[in-house]
Amino acid sequence: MIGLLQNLIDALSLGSIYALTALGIGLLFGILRLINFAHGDFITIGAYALIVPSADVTARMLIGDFNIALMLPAIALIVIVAALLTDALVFRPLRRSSPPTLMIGSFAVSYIIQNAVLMMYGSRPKAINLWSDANTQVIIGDLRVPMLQVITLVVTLALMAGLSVFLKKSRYGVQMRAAAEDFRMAQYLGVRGNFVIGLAFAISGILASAVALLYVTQSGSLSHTMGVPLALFAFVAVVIGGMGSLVGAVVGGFLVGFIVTMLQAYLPPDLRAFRDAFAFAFVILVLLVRPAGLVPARNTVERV
Amino acid sequence: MKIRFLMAALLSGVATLAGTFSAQAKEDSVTIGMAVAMSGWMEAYDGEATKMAQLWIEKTNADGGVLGKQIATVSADTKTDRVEGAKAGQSLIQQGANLLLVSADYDYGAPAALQAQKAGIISAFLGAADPKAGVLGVGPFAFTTIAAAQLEGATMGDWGFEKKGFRKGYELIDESIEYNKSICAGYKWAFAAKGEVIGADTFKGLDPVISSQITRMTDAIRTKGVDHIMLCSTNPGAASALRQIRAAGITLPVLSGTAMDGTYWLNAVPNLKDFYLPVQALPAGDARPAVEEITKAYTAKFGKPPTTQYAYPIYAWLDLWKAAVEKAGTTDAKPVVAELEKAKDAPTVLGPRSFTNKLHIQTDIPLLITSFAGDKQSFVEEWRVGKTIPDPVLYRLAGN
Repeated sequence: MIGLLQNLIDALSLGSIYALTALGIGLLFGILRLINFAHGDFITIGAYALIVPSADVTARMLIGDFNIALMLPAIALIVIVAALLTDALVFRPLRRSSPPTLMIGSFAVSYIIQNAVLMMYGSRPKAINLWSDANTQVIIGDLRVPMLQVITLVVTLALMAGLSVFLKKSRYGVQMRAAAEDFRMAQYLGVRGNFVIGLAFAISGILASAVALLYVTQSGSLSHTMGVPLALFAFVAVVIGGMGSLVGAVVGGFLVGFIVTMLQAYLPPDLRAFRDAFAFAFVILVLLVRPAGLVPARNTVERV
Repeated sequence: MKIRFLMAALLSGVATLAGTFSAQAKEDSVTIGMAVAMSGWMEAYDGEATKMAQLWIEKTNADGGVLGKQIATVSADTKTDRVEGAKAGQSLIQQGANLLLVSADYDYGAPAALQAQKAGIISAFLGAADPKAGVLGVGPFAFTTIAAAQLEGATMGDWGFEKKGFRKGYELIDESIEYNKSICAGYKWAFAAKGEVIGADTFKGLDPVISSQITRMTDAIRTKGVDHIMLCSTNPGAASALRQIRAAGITLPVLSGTAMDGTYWLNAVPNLKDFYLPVQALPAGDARPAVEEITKAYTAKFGKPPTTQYAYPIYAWLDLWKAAVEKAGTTDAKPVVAELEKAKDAPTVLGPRSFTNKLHIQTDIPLLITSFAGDKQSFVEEWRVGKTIPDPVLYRLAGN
């Protein structure tokens, strides 16, 4: 019983980081039909933004040493600028292209960001110590609850709630949803398309910077491909959850975290190495039963 | 099939011809080719060893060169790409390389080494810890400069049992590369012979969290009395795993492989202690004057000392190669390889080295145990397992 409960806590911790990443990917897909594989590299940018840009083997904190009230907006701003730049340079010229073309574009962006990081920061993985105070744990009976997981969970739920309120209540949120529903029609009705899309990129940048900080606090390590597996699993989460639905993205994120953790915990040792293969097989099963995802978005139902 | 064979024969023929052609053109010198990564992520592993090779060449030329000839170098960037690696190897062979140095990893170095093998030229991996980087993989002309990953794990297991009194081990294996699995295969072989390996778990280097692995580990520590952890991983996964292990309040001693050598990653694990790994040399605090001298010369030439021990092994290997070439009186592969294979505990600046006609990698040498405390890595003692690693462990046949 304790074992199962502990595994559930572990699953929540992995799930919340996937959910937060999936939120960023799901948002852009909802508005732009863009499956942004470069989202993981936005996370990488957010993490590397903490340190002095140099090829030295030992990383020195720069923004990472700022007061937290200054550091959060600074990191967010850097990732937002990066996200807006990719929109302006790559995705705006591809605006009328088909979703597969956009996706290929995002692969190219991902490749360019990774190599730019290699060029600027050198090829050796780096190590930093961010907020090690958050890396403590609360012991409740036999249960181990890491503080950082609680923080990650709270941040994920808060950002999801904030984003939902923004989309439902604010003027720009309504415009964004209108654009997601029918982009052409929204434009006819006076929604400034490029502005709304830029806004979506900026928000996905904020989400990526949150993931970056939580992830680096957890792992203490930076590498040029650090965001790639996150984006991959988050993309799967978006697909399971229902493409275009934000709640779906979060639900999918938690589900993927749950599946991976339970497989890691209960698979026999010889099969554990194939954990991800089992996880993806389960994803296929989910999609066979519910092709539109667990929480299908209204506007994409017919398209799938 | 026939056509492919013919093509291969033709191509290698052309390559050999081109090789002899330009080699003849440069008969007054011996040429060392460097098909290494100067860009991409492998640069972190190739860069310093390549610099060390340059240092060796400079010193050797100052001492009169090899066979009375000066050593010339040619180099090409593999760009951390296997296809580029093959091209780089080929072009250097065409430029007349008599010896080819290749990337510090079996997968990334093999494409260039295979070109050398086909052209009948000796190749040396700057730091591949896989015995396939030799006779049974690339071919009889390929060597690697370092010890098998299995020996790293075996050394830690044996030393841990004898000197630290460890009896019950637990393996945490990063599945992302083969090297990690090889370290733990060696550890298991050596430690299970004397103590008991209680359990093993796996993760992937870029997993965002390893909570469920830590849960299982905590359980094994509480219920089965595990007294140390063997972490078989490479950075960035290794530092991340260690940070999470320590953050979870697990203070048991942790053993690891050579890949975590160096202090550049210590920021990830504040106040790390009780962490041990084996190396072949220490950039700071090596007791051997010859190694200190190399470090000094390296620092003088390149502005800072090597980051890790991976810079050093090529130096010792090139010394052996030079001795073999001078004995054979030629740089031709066959006689030189025959000379190299006579090495049995042959002394080098880094300690004894042996080669046989089956193994072109070190599987039985003393390694230096180092420990980490207070942001410093320091020498503990030299340790030699002194047993032959069986083939199923060395080649990781079923179940190993």
